[in-house]
Amino acid sequence: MVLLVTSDNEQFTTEKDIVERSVLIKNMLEDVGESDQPIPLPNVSSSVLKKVLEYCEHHRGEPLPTADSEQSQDETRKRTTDISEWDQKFITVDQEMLFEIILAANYLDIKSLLDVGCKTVANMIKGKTPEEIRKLFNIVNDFTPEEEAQIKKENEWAEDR
Amino acid sequence: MPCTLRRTQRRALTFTRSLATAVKTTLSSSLFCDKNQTCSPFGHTSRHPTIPKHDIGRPRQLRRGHIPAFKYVHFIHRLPIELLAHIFVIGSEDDALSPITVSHVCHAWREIALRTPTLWRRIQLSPRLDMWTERIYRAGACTLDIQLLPWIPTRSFFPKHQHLDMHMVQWYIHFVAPLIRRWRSLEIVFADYSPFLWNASLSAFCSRSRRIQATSLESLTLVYRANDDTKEFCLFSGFAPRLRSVTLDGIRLAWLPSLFGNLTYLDYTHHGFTSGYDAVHDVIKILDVSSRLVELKILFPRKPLPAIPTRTQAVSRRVLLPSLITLHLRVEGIDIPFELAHLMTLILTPALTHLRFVDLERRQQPFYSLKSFFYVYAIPPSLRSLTVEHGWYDPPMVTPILRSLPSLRQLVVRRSHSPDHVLNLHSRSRKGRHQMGDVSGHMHLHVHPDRRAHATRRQR
Repeated sequence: MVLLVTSDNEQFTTEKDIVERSVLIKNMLEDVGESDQPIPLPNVSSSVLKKVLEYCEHHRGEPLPTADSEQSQDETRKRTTDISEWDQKFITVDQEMLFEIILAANYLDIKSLLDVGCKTVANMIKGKTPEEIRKLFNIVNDFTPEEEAQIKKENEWAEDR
Repeated sequence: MPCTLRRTQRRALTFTRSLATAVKTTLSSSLFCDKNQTCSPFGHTSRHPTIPKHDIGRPRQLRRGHIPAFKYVHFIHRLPIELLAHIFVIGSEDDALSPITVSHVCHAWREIALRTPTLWRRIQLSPRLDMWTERIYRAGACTLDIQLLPWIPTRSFFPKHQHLDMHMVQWYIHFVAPLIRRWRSLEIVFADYSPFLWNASLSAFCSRSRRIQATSLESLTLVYRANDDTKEFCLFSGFAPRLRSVTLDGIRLAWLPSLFGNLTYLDYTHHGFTSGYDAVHDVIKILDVSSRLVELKILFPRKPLPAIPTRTQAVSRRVLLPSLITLHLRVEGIDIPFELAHLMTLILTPALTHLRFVDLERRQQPFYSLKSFFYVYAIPPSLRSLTVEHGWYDPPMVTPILRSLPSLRQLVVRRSHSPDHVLNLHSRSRKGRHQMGDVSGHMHLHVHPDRRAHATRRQR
């Protein structure tokens, strides 16, 4: 069993094979060896870690991505924005939690979870105009006049004609 | 004495929180600082012009109103640049115009987009060659994904149809041919018939010159079902050492080991210029060369008449595919083609774990020769996942198959006008299999010991 301590000082006890889906924790455990010492995760809050552990538990036992498997996945050219049914349900959370999960997956180095999060954001952007994206993410149009001129020219590329 | 601090594996390069924090700070400052003091997330000075406040001799440009300070900052602004760029790249895989869209959102996103060469690597040929020239420039030294498709990407929901004839195709190919060493993938799809399309597309790559070697090519897709040209093409001077993934439909290629010997993925639709034993012989030759396949999808479509003389001699040569894990057997017509049934008696797949029987026409009745097919083809006992669709489904036949597969973990039955039936077989015990079978409500668990024994014997 492994003891994890979150940024808000909550403790989570979990099994090694679940938590080792995180390359960061796996490396930590290898560094420390057999020990009862808690592993501090100062960049992950308890609510986010709970979700991350739920993901790791569901995908427990699945082969971890390696350099070879990534290459082979690339070869088969699966649609990159496809997400499995369970993962879709899992990632159906409010936007704050979604981005927290992405940051946690990045910090903990859980590639598959990071991919699920990034694909979800890519799907949110998909099919939207720049104006719609600005509204969605509360972004201000701050282009310089030179950039505006270039953008106007580039818009002609995408015209339906 | 073993060192306790030694790692067994190298640590992968990842974006750490410290980097994320640094980037976040920089990005936020660039996004939310005052208009006249704009700073770039990449550390350059602002390109915003500083206009003198009371210079009436120089007309002011029309500007948007003053941006109020944000009360609410969206969570996306907390992502590090690398992750944002990764999201953009993922989005660009499905939508060729997505890089342009994201680069038109705001200054910071444009900077990120323009500094991410992989975002611009996809070149979908259309009459706007000026755009593709600029995108090739933005892709820098990155390898390219070349696409020649019968539609043009637009910002509207539906892409625009593009009519392709041999002259147009030659014009496009002439544009991308000099970049052949940078091609990471080549995808050519023709939906409508027009003569000599393959010739126009591929003849430039069929000489022995070193200049046409596809040194970076990893994926090749050539689809033209209506093709009537029986010519066999020998591509890329026989040299594409990184080629791993191939999808073919309606074309004959010289299957050289130097081109196709390292394939791990093959989606093969037979060209239809041969049929019967000849067609089987063609495919066996292909599989013999590409024996490292991990995933294979195969289809023998019905074509009116084979254009190449056929022979009557049966094929007896067997092929071992030791790495094959996933196999899709697809049927397009009213029945299982003879070629597919014969082929399956000649290939050995000891590592097969995923098998899918696909019926593209979604028949409601079982195929007429389904019984004969399973008489000659024994499913490998290594199978863990089986999908049976439409015409391949016949309840009395599924049960004995299920019984003969000790490692099976999942069975999916797909039929028209009804939801998919998924059986998750967690238990290895026969009792468990009985119970799982009952759950479906559609599986009649009649045991056919003779059939089971026959299947096991055949596999041995």
